[in-house]
Amino acid sequence: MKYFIANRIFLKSFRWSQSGWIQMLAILGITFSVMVTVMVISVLQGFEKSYEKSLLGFNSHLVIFSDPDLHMNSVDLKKEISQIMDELDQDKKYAISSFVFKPGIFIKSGKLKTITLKGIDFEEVRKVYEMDMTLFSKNNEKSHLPEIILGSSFYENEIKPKNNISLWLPQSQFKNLNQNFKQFQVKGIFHSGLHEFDYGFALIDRKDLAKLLGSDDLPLGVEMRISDYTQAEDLAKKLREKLPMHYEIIPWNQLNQSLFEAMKLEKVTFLVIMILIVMISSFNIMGVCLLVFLKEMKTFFLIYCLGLKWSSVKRIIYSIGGLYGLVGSFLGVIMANGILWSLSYWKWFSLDPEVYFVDQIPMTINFFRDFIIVVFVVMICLLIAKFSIYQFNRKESHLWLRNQI
Amino acid sequence: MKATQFISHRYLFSKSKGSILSLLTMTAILGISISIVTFILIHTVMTGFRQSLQEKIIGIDSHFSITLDGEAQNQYEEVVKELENFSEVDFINDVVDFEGMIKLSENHFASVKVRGIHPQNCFKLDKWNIIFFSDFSCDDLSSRDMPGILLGEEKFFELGLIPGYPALVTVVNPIADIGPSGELESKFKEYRVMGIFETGYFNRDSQYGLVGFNSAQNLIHYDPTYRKIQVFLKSLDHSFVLTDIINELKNNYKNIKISLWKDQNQRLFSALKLERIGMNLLLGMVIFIASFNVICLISLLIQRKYNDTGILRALGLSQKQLYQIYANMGLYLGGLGTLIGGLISVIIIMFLKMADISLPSAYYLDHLPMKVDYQVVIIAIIISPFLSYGVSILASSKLKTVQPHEVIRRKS
Repeated sequence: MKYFIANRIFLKSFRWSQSGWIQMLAILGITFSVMVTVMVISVLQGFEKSYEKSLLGFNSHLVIFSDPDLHMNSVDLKKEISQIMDELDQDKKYAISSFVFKPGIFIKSGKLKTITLKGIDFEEVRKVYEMDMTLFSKNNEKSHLPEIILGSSFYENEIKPKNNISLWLPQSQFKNLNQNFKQFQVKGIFHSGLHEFDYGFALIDRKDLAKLLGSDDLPLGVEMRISDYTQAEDLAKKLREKLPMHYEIIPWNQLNQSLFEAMKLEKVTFLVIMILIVMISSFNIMGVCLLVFLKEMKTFFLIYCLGLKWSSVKRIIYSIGGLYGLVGSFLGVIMANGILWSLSYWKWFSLDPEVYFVDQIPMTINFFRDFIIVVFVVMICLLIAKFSIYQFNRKESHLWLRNQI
Repeated sequence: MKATQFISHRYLFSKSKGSILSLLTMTAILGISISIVTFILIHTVMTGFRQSLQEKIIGIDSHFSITLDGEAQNQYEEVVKELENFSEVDFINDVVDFEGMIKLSENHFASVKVRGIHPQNCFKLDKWNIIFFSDFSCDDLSSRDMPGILLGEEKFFELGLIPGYPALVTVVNPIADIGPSGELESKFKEYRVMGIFETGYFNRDSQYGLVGFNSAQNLIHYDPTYRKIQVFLKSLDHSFVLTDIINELKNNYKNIKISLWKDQNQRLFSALKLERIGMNLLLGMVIFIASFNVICLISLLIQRKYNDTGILRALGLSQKQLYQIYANMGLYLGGLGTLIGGLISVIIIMFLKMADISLPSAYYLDHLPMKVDYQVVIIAIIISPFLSYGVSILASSKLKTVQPHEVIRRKS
């Protein structure tokens, strides 16, 4: 019955009156704060996920460098690591590609642009790297040119609609520039999601790159993809114990440690701000509870005199506080998700990829997270309501009854 | 003290008004204080970030740079002389910039942006934080035996060089010259790594190499399109000086291109501006939500003091004076909350300045920058109490319904 009364009083508060207006303001405050909280957390998580996806896609889960002075053959390098992985026997599902970085220069209208060529095993590209890749259909006549996969931004801005690219590659001989210019056929484009990769990198078969640079092999290290990327750090520890000293093993999160540290710092800062906003808005609940008590004093004292326990009367007011929190946070979640959805659907707001690395605001829509936020806000509201009704005095009921008589 | 002020003060801070209302008064003040602290702190960090970045960028890349086109390309020396006449100009850095390659060993190449500078200016580039190995100095940049090169800290470690060891590297300009058969030829020159620089700006530290002006000119085969004049002014606040200099230069030289530091970093500063607007909106909303507490408190007070209000009205207080009582309360709440918030902010800012919190390397800056934007802070401090004042007037609308005879009849 007490919840029925609480519900009735709560619904009654929406009638157009001054106290109704104040109660609506209290709900509005919670709605705003929850909306901002959901949106900020969603965007921060979106950035984190977006960077994580791009970094994992482009660099794979684990990078193993060998000492360049040892001039290790890439086949031996891969063999040695595969043997250790088999010995470890913990993850049979893994893929390995050896890789090497070489700089190249692209010249367009007299202007130079440095591009980093990432030599990888083309046959392993789909197994090791998780990027979106569009491969162009081959021409009928077989091209003798080495193939290259360009970053989407670079292709769109510099190459399109051509299918060939000429790059200046450094070689020991600097005498004749034409000897250093190498023609490539564009095999396709990749989209990592990060502008830095999509504009500054190109993928090429490691063997082709070695041939172009007049070398037999160009091993720098290997990249490994495992079935569960969260295990990369543990696996790196195990590999460090098994592999000789001249190997450097770096899991994906360590490779970009400073970026993730910065994001963590921002997340903590924003979380503190959001908690403060929610706290300020929930202070309204205290006033609203008192307002409800004063407004409905007659009802409360009457039902108390009719035999309802004072603790139950308190629970009614307490439930009203919770209902305000629930309605406010629910509306906030709906509004936030509506705005986020419209942002992702109509893309009415874009970012500068050279500053943020992504061109659209990344976001995550997660109803479980929203549910947790709602629960958290309702808990705070209940707590504040409980605190505010703590001091309501039942003794006043006798005074009130006496006045009525 | 006026009667209205006296009554407002008594209503708000009286001990006898009941503990729950005291609690509400406290939460209203607390809400305003928290919102003011959040506003001032975040604004201080954002302003500090913007200013530090601006100082760093200007220190690295100058206030503005000049390039000359067409016939004017031979007038660089004249432009430099003219610029030297301006007393506000600190120094002029005549540079050549080109994109090239750096060769460490037979198969070890990396890209590099080469900047040729005059050795005498090397001393003045304090924001580049140049560290020389052993006995090298700026003059060695243009040494005749073996010219020196200074590499950005990130580039230096990317190349796997050992600090302190003056390694030999070759700098290559891929399209430098036209050979006897009419084909483009590369040009290259050997340099000794004589130090590193650390601007703290990843873009510079990971891409740039500084060499002597003359040796860089040899590598570009005196192509004037690579040359530019960087102008550093004495003061960071330069808006008036800058307009004068630019106007005079534009009048004297027709094919002159002037690029301001703001234009060169337009994207970064637009992004910062956007973030600032977003953050101000968010913080403004926090203050707005905090003012809801004031509305609630004033409404409750009106409800509780309904009889008193009727009596005051019967005693001769005008409607306007009644409004004034409750509006004053809003002003007191806002003023007190702002004062407490302001004081807490000062303490936190002082603490953060002393603590010198370091930032992850993904940021452009090493330490958390703090710079109080007094203009914005004063505006916030003024607006906050008046916002409370305004919402109190809104909340006092119920006073219109107060009927003195009704109250007196009920009381008797």
